[in-house]
Amino acid sequence: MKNVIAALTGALRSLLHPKMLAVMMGPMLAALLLWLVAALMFWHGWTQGLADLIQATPAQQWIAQGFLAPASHYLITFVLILLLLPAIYVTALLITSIFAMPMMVTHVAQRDYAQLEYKHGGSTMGSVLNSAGATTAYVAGWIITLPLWLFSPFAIIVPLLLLISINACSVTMPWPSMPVGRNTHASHPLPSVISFCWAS
Amino acid sequence: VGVLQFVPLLNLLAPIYTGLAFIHLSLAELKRARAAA
Repeated sequence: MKNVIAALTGALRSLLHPKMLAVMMGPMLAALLLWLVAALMFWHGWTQGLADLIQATPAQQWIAQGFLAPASHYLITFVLILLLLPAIYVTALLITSIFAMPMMVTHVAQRDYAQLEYKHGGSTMGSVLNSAGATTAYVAGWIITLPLWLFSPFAIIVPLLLLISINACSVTMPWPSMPVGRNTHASHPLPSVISFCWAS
Repeated sequence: VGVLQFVPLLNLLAPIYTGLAFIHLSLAELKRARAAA
């Protein structure tokens, strides 16, 4: 527990560094821009597809007849925005895990762990595969747990748990691309967190 | 705690903060493991 608290404190210290603040904004802006361009290009197709999908269910009639009737015209746009938000977040996470993590590891290693010897191991392809795996699990979990959003406690707990899992998986698993990787020939067992590595 | 995820700024911070926390935790573990070896 002590090492977790020390890590969280160290992370907060590193987070306030201007370089990390720049790293933080980059992936989010890139993801936002990417989805904004995609939305501008495919908005009509998306709304049409969603409208067809919703009209196939009794949901729209139910909403149109109830007190939400004035909002029924905006339902498709609202649903689309609800779908875009996690998509933007996941894209930002993917960009972070693939491109930003190696920079962050180098930054922290040089500033706070300068005495650690620089070694090589793992590969960017491994990071990409691990990030893809974490994202697939997140999207699958998101789709499977969609019905639970109808029940208020789950609507708060489920997305939180999913976000925790993808944050942990996507940023932990790219570890093999760290520049201070574990020596392949070392005889001691892998430390707990580093054991997420698929390579040395 | 669950409602915190709806604060936009926190979602902006969360990926980088989590990443940094894992980096610190893992580098500390690595340091300990190398010292023990």
